[in-house]
Amino acid sequence: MKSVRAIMALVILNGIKPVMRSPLWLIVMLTYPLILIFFIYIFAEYAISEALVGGLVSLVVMSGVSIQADIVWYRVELKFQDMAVASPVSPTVYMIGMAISELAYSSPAMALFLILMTLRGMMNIPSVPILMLSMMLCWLSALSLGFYLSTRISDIRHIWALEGLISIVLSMLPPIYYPISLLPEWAQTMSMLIPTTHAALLAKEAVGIVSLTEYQGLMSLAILLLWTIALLLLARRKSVWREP
Amino acid sequence: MEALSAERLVKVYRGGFHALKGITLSVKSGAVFSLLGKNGAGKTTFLRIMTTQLLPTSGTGRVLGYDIVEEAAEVRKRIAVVPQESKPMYLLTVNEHVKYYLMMRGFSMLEASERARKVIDDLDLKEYANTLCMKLSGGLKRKVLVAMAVATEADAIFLDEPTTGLDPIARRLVWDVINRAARSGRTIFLTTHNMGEAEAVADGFALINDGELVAQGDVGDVQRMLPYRMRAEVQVTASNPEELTEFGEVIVVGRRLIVYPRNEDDSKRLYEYCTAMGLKVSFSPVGIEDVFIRQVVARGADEKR
Repeated sequence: MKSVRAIMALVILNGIKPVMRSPLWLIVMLTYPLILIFFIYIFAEYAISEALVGGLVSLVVMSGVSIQADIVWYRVELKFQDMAVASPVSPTVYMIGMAISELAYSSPAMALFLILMTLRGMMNIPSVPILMLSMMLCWLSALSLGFYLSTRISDIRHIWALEGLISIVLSMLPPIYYPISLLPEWAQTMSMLIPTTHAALLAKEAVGIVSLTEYQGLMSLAILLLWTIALLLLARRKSVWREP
Repeated sequence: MEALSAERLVKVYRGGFHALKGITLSVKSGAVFSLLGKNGAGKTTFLRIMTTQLLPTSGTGRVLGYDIVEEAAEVRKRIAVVPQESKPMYLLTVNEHVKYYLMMRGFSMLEASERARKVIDDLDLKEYANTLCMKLSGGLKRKVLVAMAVATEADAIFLDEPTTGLDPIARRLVWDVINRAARSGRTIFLTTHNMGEAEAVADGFALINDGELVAQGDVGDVQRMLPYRMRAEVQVTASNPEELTEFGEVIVVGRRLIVYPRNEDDSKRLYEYCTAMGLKVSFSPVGIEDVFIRQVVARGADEKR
């Protein structure tokens, strides 16, 4: 029960309250994928469904990766993490609370994308479990990467720069907003190394935009799962609660 | 009973820097204890080790009877910390800070709200209860952080340089909070480089320098720790350090010249000499700063010689 309260407190203090008092964050979160969708709508209207899935994947990635900035801010600038370490809060509870709190910023935008997808007739009941699973794995991978990076970098300015770079590498360059078939063969092979490619492929298959063979689907799921496990292990091994 | 004890505590950071060189220290339960030393002396390292944020290289430490390494979880249940240079969250109000911090420590929403209300009343923060912390002055921000720690169930509260960077009025606000918290019977451990602060709020003190303990005692016993009762601060001139030795021990601290007269007669003669020479002089009883000066500054000067 104490852990639930602690998680709730962290979600309120890092997520709900700041979002309520500075709703600009919600707009910022929404603007980035919506601008891309706007241009795709103008130049290639036929790809708008792909772009909506891409927007959802981008939001999930941003929601996970942006945890690094908050963790570094709390550890280095506010020293709030020191107060948490020297308290009954466990590192697991702290991390879960911080992770869920990030959803306060991105969930309204995610809900909007899901509504748009529903309005376009992309969503149906059988598509929900696979879509949710791929998004969950994508979120866990991005979160773990964010946690890991937050332990390696102490300067908030480097974190901001890195966040932009990660967003480009994970959600702009790979075939998230556009069909993978548009890439040359070597680039298709390269993109298969990126976890978000697989999250997008699974999501697109779930909403009926692409058709994967059973083997391709299982491969994508396996690769995404492997990435998630690897990043979770990395974050767990490298995270520092009590300094050595 | 001891609230805190350290036995030969050593901390060597990666790179070989020896921050603590075998500190042995004990603090009585229910006291306000001040760890003093100049910047970089090892105060924060000591506090971070005792509050389970940092592992020692060797030595042992106990807080409220629990080992800081083996029983860290038990220690953490019983302590609260305000780290050096910590800041409140800009977008939370004073009340929310205290309430959610308490919830984070496991209190129910109802109990956290009740405790927050009480501490805000007790610490005269009521008029700011619903003010966002980004709108508060530096002193009030520190007061909010100290209030968060005071509102907990912690038996020992650790404050790392709670008044650094604050103006004299803001500093007094924080001292007031410390004094009120101390009345509840809890142990308060604070680090500072401000000797006057230790005299204003602490019962006991320890002085560390370059990672070594150089003195420990009760604030009320400072005079017994020194061979002199009075000190005189004399205006520095080119020749006076040598001339003044006939009135007592002379120590030069940067641009200050401190004379410790051996007795009342020396004090009288020193006063007459300074008046005759037109030198500014001010007398005061000895305090913690003098223990520090004699143990650290004078010893450093001897080593250089």
